[in-house]
Amino acid sequence: MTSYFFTSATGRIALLLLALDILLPYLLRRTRLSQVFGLAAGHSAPYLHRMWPHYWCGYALVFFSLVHTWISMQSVSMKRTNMAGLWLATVAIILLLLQVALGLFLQDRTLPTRKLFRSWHYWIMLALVFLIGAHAWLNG
Amino acid sequence: MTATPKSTTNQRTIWIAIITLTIFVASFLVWSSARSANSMTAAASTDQSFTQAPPGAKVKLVLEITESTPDGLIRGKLLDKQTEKLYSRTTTAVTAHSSDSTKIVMGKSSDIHPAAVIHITGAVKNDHTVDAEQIVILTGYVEIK
Repeated sequence: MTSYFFTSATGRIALLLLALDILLPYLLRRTRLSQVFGLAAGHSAPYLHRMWPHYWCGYALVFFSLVHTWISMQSVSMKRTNMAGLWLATVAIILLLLQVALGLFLQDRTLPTRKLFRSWHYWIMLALVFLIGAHAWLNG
Repeated sequence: MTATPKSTTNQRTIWIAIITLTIFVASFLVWSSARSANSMTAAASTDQSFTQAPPGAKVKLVLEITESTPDGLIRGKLLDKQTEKLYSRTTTAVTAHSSDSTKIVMGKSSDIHPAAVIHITGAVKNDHTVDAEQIVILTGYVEIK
């Protein structure tokens, strides 16, 4: 049952990376959370440079999500799995790719639509939490 | 704002703790996936060994459910393992009972329904029904020819 192992493991690691990727900006910026942990003081690098763990965690999340999708589509019969959960996962993958594109735009500090894109980045994050959570619940 | 050596050390400690925790959780998740996958590969009892199993014997059966009731009664036909993913139907009828103490792996109790494929580990009772200790939901992961 190698296919089950890889489907399960990649899905679970993607969930972990999602949680970590959401948490990282709140630790890397000057927020109440970063102040509680004492991480707010003494940043020498500019804000966008400090965010590199968030970027790479996001890329890893996309990688694991795509591997999870690929293996499950190759090996698991879709006939008897919850179709609503699979549709939610499909929308989540599309939003995840859109989220990466938005993130790449947001690395440009001079972007005129930066405020709007940041707002979208935030709301898509919330949508992803709902979609991936529902997918894990329905198909997990 | 400039960091003092003490605050830099604290920050480093917290980041190391976060990375360590992440690696620990990831390792646990991979381990639990491997554990679930291993429970699926456990050898299933054959048609003959199940029909000859004495009361109290521990059996591992793969069956296709034909009937299930909310009170935990499961009826189905024993499946014969051909390859890792391919099973063939047999004529042997199996009746099993699940309870609140039955561990359900890779799915939920709602996945136990007619046409579902499950792997049951349990003890044979006097009436030759099986008292299910663990049920692994195999639906979607195996094919029946």
